[in-house]
Amino acid sequence: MEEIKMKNIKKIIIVFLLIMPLTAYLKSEEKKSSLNAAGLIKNPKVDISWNRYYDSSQIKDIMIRLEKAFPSLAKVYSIGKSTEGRDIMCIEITNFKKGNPDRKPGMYIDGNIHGNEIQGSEVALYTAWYLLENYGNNKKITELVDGRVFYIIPTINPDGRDWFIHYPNTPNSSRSGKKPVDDDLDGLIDEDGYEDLDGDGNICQIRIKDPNGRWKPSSEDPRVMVRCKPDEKGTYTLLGLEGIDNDGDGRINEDGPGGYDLNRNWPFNWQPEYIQRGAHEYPFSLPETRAVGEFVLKHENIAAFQSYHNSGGMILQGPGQKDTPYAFQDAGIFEYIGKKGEEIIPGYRFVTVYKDMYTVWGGELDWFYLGRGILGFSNELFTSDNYFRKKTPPYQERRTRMFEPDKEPYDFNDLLLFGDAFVDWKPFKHPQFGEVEIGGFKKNFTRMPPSFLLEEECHRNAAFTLFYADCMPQVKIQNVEVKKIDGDLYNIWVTVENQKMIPTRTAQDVQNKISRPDQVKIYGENIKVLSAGFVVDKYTGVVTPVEKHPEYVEIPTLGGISTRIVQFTIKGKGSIKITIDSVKGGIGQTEIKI
Amino acid sequence: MKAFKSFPILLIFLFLVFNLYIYPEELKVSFSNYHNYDELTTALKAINEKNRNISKLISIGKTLQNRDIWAFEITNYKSGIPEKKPGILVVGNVEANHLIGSEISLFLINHLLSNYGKDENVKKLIDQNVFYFIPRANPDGAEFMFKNPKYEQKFNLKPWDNDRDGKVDEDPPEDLNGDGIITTMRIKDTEGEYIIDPEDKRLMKKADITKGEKSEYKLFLEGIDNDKDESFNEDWPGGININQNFPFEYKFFSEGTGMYQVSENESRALADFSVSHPNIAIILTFSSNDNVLFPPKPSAPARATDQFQLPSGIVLPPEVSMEQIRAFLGRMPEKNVVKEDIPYFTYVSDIYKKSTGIKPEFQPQKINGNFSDWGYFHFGDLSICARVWFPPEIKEERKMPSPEQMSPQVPPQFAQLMQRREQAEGQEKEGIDEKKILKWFDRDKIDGFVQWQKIKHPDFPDKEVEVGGIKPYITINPPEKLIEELGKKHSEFFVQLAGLLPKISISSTKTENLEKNLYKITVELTNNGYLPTGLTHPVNARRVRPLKVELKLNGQKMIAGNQISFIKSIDGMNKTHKLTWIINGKKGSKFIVNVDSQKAGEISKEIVLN
Repeated sequence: MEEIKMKNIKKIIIVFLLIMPLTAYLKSEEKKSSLNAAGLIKNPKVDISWNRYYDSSQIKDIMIRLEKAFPSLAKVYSIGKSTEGRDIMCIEITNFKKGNPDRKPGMYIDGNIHGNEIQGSEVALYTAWYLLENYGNNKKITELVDGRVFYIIPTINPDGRDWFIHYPNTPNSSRSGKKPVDDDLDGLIDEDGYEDLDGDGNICQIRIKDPNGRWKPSSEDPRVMVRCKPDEKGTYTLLGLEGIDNDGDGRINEDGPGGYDLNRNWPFNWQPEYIQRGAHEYPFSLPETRAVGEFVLKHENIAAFQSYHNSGGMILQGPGQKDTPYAFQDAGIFEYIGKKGEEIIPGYRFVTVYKDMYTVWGGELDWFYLGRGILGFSNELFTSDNYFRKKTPPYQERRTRMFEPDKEPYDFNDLLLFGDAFVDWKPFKHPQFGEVEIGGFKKNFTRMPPSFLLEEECHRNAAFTLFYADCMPQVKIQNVEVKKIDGDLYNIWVTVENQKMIPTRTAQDVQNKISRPDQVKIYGENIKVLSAGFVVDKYTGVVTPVEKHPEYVEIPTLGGISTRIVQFTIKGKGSIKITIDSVKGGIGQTEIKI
Repeated sequence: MKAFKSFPILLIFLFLVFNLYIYPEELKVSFSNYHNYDELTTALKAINEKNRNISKLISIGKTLQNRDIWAFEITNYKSGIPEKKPGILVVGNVEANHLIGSEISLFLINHLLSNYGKDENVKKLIDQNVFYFIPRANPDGAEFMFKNPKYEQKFNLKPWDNDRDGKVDEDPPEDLNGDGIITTMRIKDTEGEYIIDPEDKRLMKKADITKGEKSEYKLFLEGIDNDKDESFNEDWPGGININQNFPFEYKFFSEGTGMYQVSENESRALADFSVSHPNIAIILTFSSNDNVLFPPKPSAPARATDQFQLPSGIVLPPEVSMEQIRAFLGRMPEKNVVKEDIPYFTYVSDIYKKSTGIKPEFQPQKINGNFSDWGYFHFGDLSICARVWFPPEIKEERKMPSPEQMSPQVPPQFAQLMQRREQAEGQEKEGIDEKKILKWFDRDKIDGFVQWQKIKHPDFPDKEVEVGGIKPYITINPPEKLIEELGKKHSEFFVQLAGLLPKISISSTKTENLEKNLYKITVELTNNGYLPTGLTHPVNARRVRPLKVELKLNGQKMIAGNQISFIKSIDGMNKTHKLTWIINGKKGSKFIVNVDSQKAGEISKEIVLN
């Protein structure tokens, strides 16, 4: 038996070795003969289609494939388990052979916090793939992977994602994870959710003919239901979404799976359910948010935060609540990066959550910035601009427009998707309502890009995020000047710099003492540090002394693109090591000899 | 093989069981000393073993030092499912230094169980309700009282970089005079802010520049500068104060509150235990804050939405109220007990004052993020908090005449105003007055003060350093001889408190034959307890489910009425609620009406059509 097996394996290997060069030859021929599009990744080690959506296990597979293909650049691990026991997978990307990854300025990226907002995962995954495949081929990307570390968690709500993908749903259902909640306070949990009555895999609308109804089909397009004007009589009543009354309480779909909002479960400005719907029991009461929270607290080097939601074409900044404004010193940086995003992603607008949308208590954005002093943005992916490249009206205006017929998605569905995204109204005999009609858009339309637009969405958003990642602080010792005072007494002037735009500690961080200050340290076997001070004016040489521990001088923060000169007065000689050590700006080191 | 391996374990187990059998018949729990963790655990286990049919001891979490956080459940398991009975949760030691809370909790447990067979009222309470005790909420922190040196602190042992220097717990206090306790250290230094208090030479006070006082001393906690950063004991062991780690009015970035709300094993255990027992209707917390001697007072309701603009083109039906719109658009969080709920707090306060005879000596300091407030504002219960004991205050008599006693020349409005101001002044006084503490030590001959004593301090070789001051734990926990008496007083209070729980009953059912097989059914529900089935704020905050009344029909047909109906809440003191249905069914046929209340029990009754 054993022998036969071995023989077979040998055969397989031989055949494989013969075929391998042949296929490589064929492939390269194919590539040679075509013109490379600008920005193309020519021979990706991991080939991934960016025009389709993946469920949580497929995403995990892709992450593992990336790790295998780039073992020195990527590590894949689970940061915790979801309610239903799925792993929350993180791919950590940096050049692991260069420096300690925990001490490089870090960027944290996540997506899909809301179960139905799934394309964030593809964008995050694309970012990981793009960084890895371009390493060594592209100067900017190589610099980012060498000097920075990326913690990318494509989906922090894998339960919600798989629920949305594999079960009948609407474009909006459900935001929640899968921990059961008694939504209707009847003592039962998750007892009355949607039912896919017509079995087409989508939860659509139910309408019933009603001479006293307040709705009617639009005169321009009978598929579109329009609310009647105050002086008009209607022909239909809308009965909500597909489903039946499971628990006999006279209501339909009032207690479906889950029943909370992971993006209202974060500690800063958290308020309970009666103030903020979806808050759940207390901050981080859910395994998913808790896992991310603990992960972020463990990685103090995280200097930037990016999350991906849908939809509306917005780059959001906090605060979610008007009584806790952002520190004015930091506002300019948000503005600069956000506005750059508007350029990189046409159709997207840079807006503030509470001003331009609504009040949010306990949102992820606010915890990162207000709670941890980390800059952060949330991108609302996909905009109806994409339909016919028309400018999206602001969110507030769109709210009022919700009461007028909006034909654009219907026309787009007809002209560009050839009708694939709409379920036509069809009669159905409902157990409680009687003769009704069921129809409407499928769950994969209106909030998600259709296949042919997904790759563009991924690339533009990844490009914005990488621009933003490049703004993270980076400290360095720019210059060391040794001035002899007398005998073996020396003054050493150390110029430390932050080479990038974001300060090593944001104003929010400094004001609330969230992380420790940056430290400039001097060390030598044969030296004694007598005093230290800040050089206030390098031309006149004015120095303010530092009172405590001259071996390490604390700097509250190094602003964007700025330098600071520290003077050490030492006695002795030999080799001296000088370090700038910043929690979020990394480490800069140099050695001199006297 | 496996069976053999576990044989020794089995032997040990049998030995333990045997040991428990020969335990003396009458279990005596001693209250002559404060229990350390191991002693408390032993006592709880022993009590539980004695009362297995009506008690249960469960671990609801582990601390960082791997101690179990114990919850002790008391109810009659034969009289229904515990989670369906009205419950009271008692929490002690939610602040590490408040050991008296643990003792009183243990006393209550012992009192209830040892009176089950003797006292009819106690038996009824245990049969009908369920009591949960978490006597020691911060076991790691509490052990500091039993350690050498004794060092009073309110935290758990979560490693914490208090001074943000990148190092954790690197500069704890030290016992420099070798007396086994950590007190204060004063250093003669004109750079300091303190002087010896001229009124009582044992105490220190801040130099008052308006009186021309020249400062002479620096004050620190007893200890050395371990990390040579020229600060003293600035990064002590731990930690987080569990009683500042809850989400109501939580303070970010403040000493001892933690990284975020409910971040600690201990607070998480408390929160999760509460949340998984929604039948708890009253929470009684023992800690340094108090709302039982200082019950909440009416105040302005939370800010409502300022403005509301209807999107154009929308016409709302006239029955929609502005209140509904406000509730929908954006309520602001309640910060004070709502006025409808205040009477219940007031009544409990009266019971407490009467049954314990305890008088407030000062207003305890307000604590942000405390467990008790969370219990009302977020969890949704009548949540009361008692300090248990105040160091007696020896005060100078100064009494304002009551309005009646005042001379007729003083206008009554003015007299009232004076009185109100007097009360307000009493309320404003927060915290402990050390001078009065020392007077109490003197009067009752309590060894509570360490006389200032010169020591040699390595960090101040050239300076005069002395160690002394009020001993730790002594102003928060009563002398041991008072524990038993306080336990008795609180038992009396607790039994009365348990009598306030809501209790739902079906007080009457009526069937009227309308025509042939058509019946009108009327059911009347009564709340026989004192508390409503849900307080107003908790009901509005969706923390209390409405009562659910369900007809479990048996072939009959519903003509009018809901098979399942919901009632927001029914007030206590025998207030009733009536429900009617029209049903089509055969004469003599039966069905069941079931009433389910989250905090007032579940009950059902059979109804016969005739």
